[in-house]
Amino acid sequence: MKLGTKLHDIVGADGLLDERLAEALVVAPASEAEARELFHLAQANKLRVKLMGLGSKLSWSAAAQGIDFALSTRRLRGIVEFVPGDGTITALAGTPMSELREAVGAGGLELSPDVPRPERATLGGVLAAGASGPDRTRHGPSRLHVLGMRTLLASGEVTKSGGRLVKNVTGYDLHRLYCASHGTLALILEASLRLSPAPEARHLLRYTCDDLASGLALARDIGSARVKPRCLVLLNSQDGRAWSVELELAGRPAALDLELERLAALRSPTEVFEGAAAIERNMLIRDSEPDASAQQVLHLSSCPSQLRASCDALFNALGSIGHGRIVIQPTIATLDMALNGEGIATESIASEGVQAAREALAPLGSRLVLRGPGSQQHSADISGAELTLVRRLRNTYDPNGLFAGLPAGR
Amino acid sequence: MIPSDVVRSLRSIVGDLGLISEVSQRTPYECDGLAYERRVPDLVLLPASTEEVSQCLALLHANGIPVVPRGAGTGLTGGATPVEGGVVLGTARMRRVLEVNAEGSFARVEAGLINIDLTRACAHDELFYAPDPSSQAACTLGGNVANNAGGPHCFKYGNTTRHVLGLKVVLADGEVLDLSAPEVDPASYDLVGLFVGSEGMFGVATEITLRLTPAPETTETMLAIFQDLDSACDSVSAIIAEGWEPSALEILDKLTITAVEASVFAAGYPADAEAVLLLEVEGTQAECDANAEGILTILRTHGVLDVQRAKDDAARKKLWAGRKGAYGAMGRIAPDLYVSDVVVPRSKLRELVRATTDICLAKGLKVANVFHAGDGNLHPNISYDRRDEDELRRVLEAGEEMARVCVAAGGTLSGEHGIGLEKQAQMRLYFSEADLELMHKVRDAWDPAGNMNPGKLLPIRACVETRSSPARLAGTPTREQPA
Repeated sequence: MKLGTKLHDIVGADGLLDERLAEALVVAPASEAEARELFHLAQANKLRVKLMGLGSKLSWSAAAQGIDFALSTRRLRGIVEFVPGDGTITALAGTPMSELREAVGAGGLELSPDVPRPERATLGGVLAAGASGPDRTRHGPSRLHVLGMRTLLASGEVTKSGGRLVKNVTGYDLHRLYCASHGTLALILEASLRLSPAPEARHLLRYTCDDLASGLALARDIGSARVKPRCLVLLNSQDGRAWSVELELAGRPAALDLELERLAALRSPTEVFEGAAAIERNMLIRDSEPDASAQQVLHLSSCPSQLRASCDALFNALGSIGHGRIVIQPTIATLDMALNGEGIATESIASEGVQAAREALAPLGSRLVLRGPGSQQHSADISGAELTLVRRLRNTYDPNGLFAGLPAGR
Repeated sequence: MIPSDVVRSLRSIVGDLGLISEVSQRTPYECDGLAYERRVPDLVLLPASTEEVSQCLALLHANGIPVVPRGAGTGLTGGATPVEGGVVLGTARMRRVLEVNAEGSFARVEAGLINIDLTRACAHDELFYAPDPSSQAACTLGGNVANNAGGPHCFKYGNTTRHVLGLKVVLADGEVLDLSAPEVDPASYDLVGLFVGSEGMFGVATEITLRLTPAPETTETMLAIFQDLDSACDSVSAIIAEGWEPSALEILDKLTITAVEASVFAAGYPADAEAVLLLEVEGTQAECDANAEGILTILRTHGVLDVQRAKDDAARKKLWAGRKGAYGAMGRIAPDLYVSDVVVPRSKLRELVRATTDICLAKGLKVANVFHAGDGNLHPNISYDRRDEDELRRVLEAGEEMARVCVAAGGTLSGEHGIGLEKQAQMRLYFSEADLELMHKVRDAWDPAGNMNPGKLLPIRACVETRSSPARLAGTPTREQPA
C-alpha cells in the first residue's frame, strides 16, 4: 500500500494537507491517538518524520532532507486550561500564539513570548525552535516561561514533565530539554506557561540615530538610566542609512511617569506613542524581525560588552554582501540581519562570507548562524563532552532515527 | 569500604586537607536536614578545584564507587545522605567568587560559595542574587542548583533555574562539561536547564554562572495581622488574582508565631494573631506606593486587623529574621522538625492549607504552617522526636497523605526542596511509569554507570541501583548506626 494511502487511513482527507515539505507529504493529525498511530506507522516501516507546526521556523534547524513525511500539529489546537487566578495557561501545541495572546489578554494577563508574526507561529513550534520576542528584554527567553509539557515520544508513549503550577521542582525538567530541540527528541503535544499581569499603561519612545555606534551608545545609556523597558530594539531604516532606537515602557502609570522623567533627562525622543498607538507601534517593531522562512537571515548572539565589537567584526567580514533589515536587541546582545541577495552571486559566496564572519567573531565569544530556506549553517558547532552528551540524549529518545533533523554540532 | 589503594590515590589528588577518613570526622556527613535518614560515609572528599573533582570522579568511576555530592548539607530531603560503599564529595573548599560582571549582570562563582555571600560580593554594584532560601546564610549555590532552590522572593524573581546562565559540570567519568559562558541561548540542547534540579545525579557542578538582578531602589516590608488563617490565605489569592506584584508573600500561623517570638529570632510578631502575612513591595517609590495601596485595599476587604509597616532597614530585617528563623525557632518545640514541601494552585490555597493541617491534627501531630503563599508553596512543619518510632511513623504517613491530597487537587510534590529520599516513593503519585522510565533513561545518558547519587529521586527500578538496605526498598526509613 502506498504511503499516502496509509497516511490517509489514519488522518483522513482533512489531515492530508496540500502543501509539501521537501517534496514529502505533510499530514496533520487531529488527535493524540492519530499522532500515535502515525508514529507507529513510521516505526514499523522505518520512516523518517519531520515534526512541525505551521512551518515558520523550519529553517532554524537542519533542512528537511530525506524525510518520508512531515507531521504538523496545526490541528492539535485549543486552550486546555486557562486559570487567571493562578496566572497560568495550558494549550495544545498547534494553537497559534495570536490565539493564546488574545485569550490571555481578555483575562487581564500577558503572555510571553511575544513572537513576531504570531498568527503564523504555533505554541509547540515556538518552544521547539527556542524562539522569543522583543519582550524578552523584560521577561526573559521563552524556555523560562514553560511550567510543563506533555510530549509524544518516538515509541508512541505520552509522557509529561513539570506541571501547571508556577513553582515546581518535582523530577527532572525535561521540558527544558525539549525547548530548542527542533523536534529531534519528541513531539510537543501540550505546554503550560506562566503569565504576567497585563501592564496598565504603555509608551513607546522612538529615537533616531545617525549610525549604529550612536544607537548602541544610546541603548547603553538607557540601560544605566534606571528604567525597566519591556522592549528595547535598535533597527535600521528601510534605506539602511539611519537607525532608530525603539524603547517600550509598560507598567503602572505612576512608575512610567518617573521612567519618562529619567529618560527625558537623557535625551528627548523623536517620537512618543501612547496606549493603543504604542501597542500598534510595538507590533510593527516586533514583526520587523527578519523572517527566515522567506529569506536568508544571519543571527548573531554575543554578550553586552562585546556587542559593538561583534557588530563591527560582522560588517567588516561580510564585505560587499548586501543586507536588508537589521534588528538588534542590545540588552540581550543579539542581532538579526536579512541578507538581501545583493553581492551574493552564489550560495557558496554567502557561505564563505558567513564563515569569514564566524572566524572573526569567535575570539569575541560571539556566535553566528545562518538561517533560511535550504541553509545548512543554521547551528553552532559543539564538541567534546557536550557533543557526546547531546548524541546520547538523542539516542535515548530516538534510537531508531524516527525524527528528521539534527541537533547542533552533528 | 573504599580500597586502600584508591584512598591513597585520592589523597594524592586532594591532599590531606581534602580527604577525611577518620570515622569521628566522617560522622558529621552522615545526613543532611532529613535527620532520620543517616549513614556514615566510607570516605569524605573535599577537592579544591574543578581539576581535582575531575580526577577524583575519574578514579571513583574506574573503581565503580558511588559518589554523593554535598554542598552545606542544608537540604531537607536526604539528597546528600550517603550511600552504602560510597564517598561524599563536598564543595566546601571551592567557594571563590571568580568574576562579577556588572555590565553583563552576571557572576561566575565556585559551587561551594554560600548563597548570601554572592549578594555581598556584588552589592557595591547595586546588584544582588535573587533566590533567597531560608538557609541562605548557610546553603551553597551548588546545592541551590542541584535542588532548583527557591525562597520567599522567588514569588517575583523565580526559582534558581531562572538565574543560571551557565555551568561547569564534572561528569561521572571525570569529563568536564564546560557550559559556563553566559550564553544568550544554548548552542544545542538546553543541558544547563536540564541539569538544574537534577539533585546531584547528573554530575558535580563546580562553577556556576548566575544572573544578577539590579537592587530595587526602594523596598517596603509590611506585616498584616489576621484573626484567622483563612482570611490570610484568601487575601493572598485576591492579591494575585487582581494582578498586584509584591516581591514576597509569606504566611505564618499562630504556632509558628509563638515559636518565633519565644526564640532568639523574635521579630515582634503579635502574640495574639492567628496568622500574619509578611509581604514586601519594591521598585521605585511610585511603584511601591501604588502596589502598597492596592494591596492594602485588598487586605482591608479580607478582614485584616492591622498592618505594620517597617519604618527602616533595621525594622525590615527584624521582620524577615523572624520568618527566616522560623525553622530554627521550632527547635524549641521538639528535637526534630519534618518540613513538608508541597505546591497547590494559588486559587485553592485556603482549602489545602486547611486540609493539610487537618491531616496532621488527625494523627495527633503538632503542625505549624509557614509558607510561600504567593507561589502556593506550603510548608506544614511537624515537630516530633525521631526517637519515638510511633511518632515518626505518623509523621511519615502524614507527609504521604498531604502529598496525595495536594496532587489530587492539582498540586505537585515539591516547590523547592526537591525529592531526594523523602518523596522518592511518592513520585508515583505524580508521574506515570512511562514518565519515570524516561527520567531513568535520561539519567543513564548523563551517567551510564549510575554512580552519581544513586538511589535518590527516582523510585527504585532495580535492586542493584540502591546500594541500600532492604528496609529502604520497602519504603520505610532506615536509621543506620554510625560505623
